[in-house]
Amino acid sequence: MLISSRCFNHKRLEFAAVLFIIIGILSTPPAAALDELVIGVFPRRNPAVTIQLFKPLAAHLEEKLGVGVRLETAPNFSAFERMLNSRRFHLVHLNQYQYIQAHDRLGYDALLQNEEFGQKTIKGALYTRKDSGIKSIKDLQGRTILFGGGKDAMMSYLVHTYLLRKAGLMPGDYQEKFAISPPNAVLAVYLGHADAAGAGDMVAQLPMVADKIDTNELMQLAVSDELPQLPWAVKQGLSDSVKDKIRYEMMLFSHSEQGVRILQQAQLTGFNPVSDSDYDPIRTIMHKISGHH
Amino acid sequence: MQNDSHYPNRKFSTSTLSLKFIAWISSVLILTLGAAAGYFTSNQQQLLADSLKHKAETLGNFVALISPDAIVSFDISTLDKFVKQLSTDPDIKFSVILNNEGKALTTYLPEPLTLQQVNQWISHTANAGQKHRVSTLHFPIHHYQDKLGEVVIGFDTQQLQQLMRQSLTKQFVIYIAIILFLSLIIFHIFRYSVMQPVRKLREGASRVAQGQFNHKIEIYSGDELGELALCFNNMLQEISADRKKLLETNMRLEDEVALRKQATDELSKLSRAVEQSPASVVITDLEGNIEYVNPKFTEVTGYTSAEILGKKPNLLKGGNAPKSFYRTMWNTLVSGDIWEGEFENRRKNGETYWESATIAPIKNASGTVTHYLAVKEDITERKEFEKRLYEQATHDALTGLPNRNLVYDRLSQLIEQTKRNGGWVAVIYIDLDNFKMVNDTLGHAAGDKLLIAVAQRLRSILRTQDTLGRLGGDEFLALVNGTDEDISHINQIASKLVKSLESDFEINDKLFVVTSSIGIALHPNDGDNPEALIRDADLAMYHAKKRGRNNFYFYNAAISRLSMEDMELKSNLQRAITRNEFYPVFQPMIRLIDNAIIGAEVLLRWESREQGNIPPIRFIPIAEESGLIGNIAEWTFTDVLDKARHWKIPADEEFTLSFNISPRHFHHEGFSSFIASMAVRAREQGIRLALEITEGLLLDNQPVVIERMYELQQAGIAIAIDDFGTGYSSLSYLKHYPINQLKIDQTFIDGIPGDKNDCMLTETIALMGRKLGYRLVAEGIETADQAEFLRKLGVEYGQGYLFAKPMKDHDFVSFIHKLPG
Repeated sequence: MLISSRCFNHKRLEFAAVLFIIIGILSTPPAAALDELVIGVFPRRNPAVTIQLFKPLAAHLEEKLGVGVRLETAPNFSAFERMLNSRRFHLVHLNQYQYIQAHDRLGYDALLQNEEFGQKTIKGALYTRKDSGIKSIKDLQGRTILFGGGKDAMMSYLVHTYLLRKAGLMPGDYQEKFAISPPNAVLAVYLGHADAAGAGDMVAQLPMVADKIDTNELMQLAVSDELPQLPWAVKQGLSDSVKDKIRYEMMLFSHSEQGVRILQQAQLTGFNPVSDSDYDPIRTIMHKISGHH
Repeated sequence: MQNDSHYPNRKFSTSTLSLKFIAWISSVLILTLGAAAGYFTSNQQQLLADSLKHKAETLGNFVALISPDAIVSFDISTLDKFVKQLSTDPDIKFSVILNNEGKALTTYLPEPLTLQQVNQWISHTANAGQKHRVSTLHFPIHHYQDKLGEVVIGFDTQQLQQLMRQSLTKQFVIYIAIILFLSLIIFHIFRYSVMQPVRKLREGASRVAQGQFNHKIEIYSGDELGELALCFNNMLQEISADRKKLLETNMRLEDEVALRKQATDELSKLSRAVEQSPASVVITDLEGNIEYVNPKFTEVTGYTSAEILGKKPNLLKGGNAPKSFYRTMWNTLVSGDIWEGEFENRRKNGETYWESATIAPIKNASGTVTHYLAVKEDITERKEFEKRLYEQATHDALTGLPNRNLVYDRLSQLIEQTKRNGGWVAVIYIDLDNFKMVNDTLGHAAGDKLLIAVAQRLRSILRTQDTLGRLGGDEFLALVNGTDEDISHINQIASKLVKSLESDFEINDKLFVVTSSIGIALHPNDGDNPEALIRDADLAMYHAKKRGRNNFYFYNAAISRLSMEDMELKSNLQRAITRNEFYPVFQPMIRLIDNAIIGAEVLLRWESREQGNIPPIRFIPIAEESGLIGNIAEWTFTDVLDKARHWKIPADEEFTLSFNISPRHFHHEGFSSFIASMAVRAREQGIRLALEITEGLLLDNQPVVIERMYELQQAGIAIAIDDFGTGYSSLSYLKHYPINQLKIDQTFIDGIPGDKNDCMLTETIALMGRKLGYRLVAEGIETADQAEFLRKLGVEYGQGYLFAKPMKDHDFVSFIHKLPG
C-alpha cells in the first residue's frame, strides 16, 4: 500500500515535532516583523459557514501570535484558486490536490494536517443505494456518478476517479456530474438523482447527512487507501519562527479546553504536523488519473 | 268615590316590558352582531385564504427563484434549508422541491410526514378519507429557459378550517359576551332611565286608583319621562284638589240628604206616631177649636174627625170637675206652660171614661203659640184597677173588712179627730178561742166560712160609723169612738161582742161554738198612737185569754207588767239549759196493794238565778210558745237517765219513769226517734219509759198522732193519758189510740171517798179502764182512805203526798232503798 507504507510512526514524529517547535520557539524571536497574518480557507463549505467555523481559530492565533489575523475564503474553488495564485495567504488551508499545485507552483509548504473524527488520514468512497442493483465498480458502466466537488476536489473526485480507473472504467464509460459538496452528492444519490456518489468515507457519518437520511439505505461500493488529511500550508518566505509559532499554537489546541472548543467549532479533532513528502501518494494518484500532474 | 271594581283585576308588571325589551335588545344585538360577525368571519376567512395563498405564492416563487443554483449543483442541504424554512410557517403542511421527473431534491419533511405521504398528496390521492385535507401549490423552477423542477407547497386546509373554527368560536364567545354585556348595560340603562320612572308612574297611577293622592311621583330626570312625571304630579294635584272639593261637596250633600231624610223620616215617623199613637191626640187653635184628632181619639170617644173638627173639647165634658179645674188648666196653657191632669169625660155613646191628658202649647219658629196639643190616654181601666188595688190593699179579701193598714189609717184619723174634738177611741182587739181546732178539724175552707160568719156577727153589733177590721187569722179589731159622756158604753159593746159569738155557728152542717177573748185599750188613756193602742189591746186580749177566755179585759198597768214578766221569763228560759238551772224531781208511783215503788213521774223544776223558783205552770206555756219545749224535754230525758244509772232499781216489777209530754213537743220532727233512742238506753238500765199526754192532744184526732203513738208503743214505750177525766168528755178516742194507762186526775181523787159523785166517777173510770185493759194510776192520793178506796176499785197504782212528795234525785235514791220490795 502506497499510502500506508508512508505512514511512519506518527506519535514519535508528533513528539519530535512538538519538541522541535518548542525549541524553535524558545530559540527564535517573536514574529514581530509580520504586520498581518492572512489565513485562507478553501471553500470546502459555503463561505459563510467557512468563516464561522474558523473565526475562533483565527482569533486565537491573532492573540497568540501578537499580529493581526485576517481570515479569507472564496465562494468557489476557482475564486479561491485565483486568490491562492496571488499568494496573498500566509497560512492556507486547502485540499490535497490544491496543496500539491500550490507547493509546486506557488511555493507553499505543508505545515500541519487536519485530524477529523480522530483520524489523521482520510479515504475516498463510492456511495450507491443498496437498492440500486450495483454490486461493483464495473456495474457503474453507463451510470451517472455524482462527485462532491469539482474536478480539483481530491476526496470528491480525484480519488474516486483513480478508483474507477483502477477498475477499468475510462472517461465516457460513465457520466460525471458534480454536486456542490460531498454530503450533497451522497444526499442526491440517496434521493435518486445519480447512481453513485464520490465522497470521503466519513461523509455519511456527518450530521448533515446522517440526520437527514437513512444511511442504512446506502452502501460504500469502493473505498480508497488511506491518504493524508487536508493540509495547512505556509507561504514560502514566512519566517520559521512564525511557522513554528503557528504550528505550535495549533497543535496545542487539543491540549486545552479553549483549543478543544476551537477545534469543535471547526469540526476538527486536532492538528498534526506534516511534511510535503507526506502528500506524495496524492501526487501518484494525480499522475495516474491525468498524467498532467 | 273610589271604586275598585272600576279597575280590572289585573296585575301590573314591569317585568313583561323589561323582558320584551331585553328580548328585543338581545335579538337585535344577536342579529346585527351575528350578521356582522358572519360577514367579517367570511371576509376574514377569504382574506386569510387569500393571504395564505398570496404568502404561499410569494414564498414558493421566492424559493423557486433562489433554488436553481442549488438544484444545478445538487445542493440538497441548501434546498433542505429552503423547504425547512418554508415548513416553519404554521399554514404550510410541507414543502418539497422536485426535479422534472418528480423526484425530491430535498430530504426535509416535518415530522411525522413521510415522503410517500407527501407524494400521495402531491398526486391528489391522499385526501380522501384523510383526517387532514391538504392542498398543494406548485411553483416551477426555471433556470433561464430550462425548467429544473418545481417547489411544491402543501397547505393543511383542515388546519385553516380549524383556525377558522377556533376564530369563529372565539368570535362567537366574544360576541356573546358583548351581547350580554351590552344587553346588561342597556337593560340597566333602560331600567334606570325608563323602567324605574315607568314603575314609579305605574305605582303612582295605582295609588291614584286606590284614592291616594298625597304621594307625588319622584322622577327628576329632564327627559320625557321626567316631564311626564311632572305632568302626572300636576294632574295629581289638580285631581286631588278637585277630589277634595268633590268630596267636601259630596259630604255636604250627603249630610244635607241625611238631614233631610232624617227630617223626612222623623216627620213621617212623627206623623205615623201621631196617627198610630195609642194615645188620643187633639190639636186646637188658640180659641180651643179642634183642628185635628187622630184615629185613637175617634176610637176612644166615638166621634169621627168630621164630627169633632171645629168644635171645642168641652163637648166631651162628662165629670163633675169644678170650674176652677178648667180655669187652672187654661191659665197654665195661656202662660205657655204644659198642663198635665186627668179628666172624666163622656163618650159619644154616653159612657164616662177617664183620661190622663198632657196639653202643651205649640210654638212657631218665632216662639209664638199658635196651637195647643193635647195628648190623652184613656185611663179608665187603670182607674178601675187602682180602685181594685186600693180595695185589696185596704180590705180583707175574705171578709171584706178593712185590713190592718186601713184600720191603722182609720185609727190614726180617729186619734187625730179625738185630739181635735175630744172624746175617746176604744181599740177592741178580738181573738177567737180554739179557732185553730176548727181549721185543723174541718179544714181551712170551713175556717174561712167561720171567719166570714164571725165578721158578720161582730159587724152587726157595731154601729155604722164604727170600724171593724180583720188583722189576720182569727184576730179582729174594732174601733169605736164616742164622747166622754158615753164611755161606759164600751163595756156594753165589749160584752155584746163576746156574747155575739157564744151562740153556735153552723158550718158545713156542723155546729161550732167559738168564743172570743177581747182586749180593750182606750185613747187617750192608754196611748196616743195606733201602734201603742193596738199593742196594749193585744196584751189585754192575751190576758183575757190566759184568764180563761170568752171574756174581755181592759188594758191596765198590771197587764203590762205581767207581759213584761213573760218576756223576761222567756228571755231567761233560753239561757236556763246552758246555765243548768233546770233539775228533775221524782214523784214515786206506788203499787197500792203492797206500797211497793214501781216507778216515778218525772217533774221538771226551774230555779232561775234572777227570778228564783218558777213553777211549771208559769214557764211551760212560755216554753211551748217560744218553741223551747223540745230542747227542755230532751235535756230532761238525758239528765234523768244519766242520774238513773246510779239507781238500784227494784226487780220485782218493771220500773217505769213517766214524762209529761207537751203536745207541741209531741209534734216535733224527730220526736219519735229521740224518744225511741231514750227508751233503748232506759231499757239497758232496767227502766221502762212512759209518756203522759193530755186529752187535748187526742182531740186533734190527727192520723199523724195515731201513727206516732203506735211507733212509740212498738218501741216499748207506754202511753198514759194524764189528768184523765178533766178534758173533753169524748171517750171515743180511747178506742182509736194505743193507750197503756190512764192517770185518774186528782180532782176526782180529792172527793173520795166522801163525795158520792167523785166516788161514782172514779169508780166508773176505774171500771172502764179495767174493762179496756188499761193500767190505772191514781194521782194526788193524800190519805189512806183514798188509797184504800182505790185499792177496792181495783186501781193498782197511785201517787201522791200519802206516799211521797216529788223529790230530787238523791232523795229519790234513798226513797227507793228504804221502801220494801
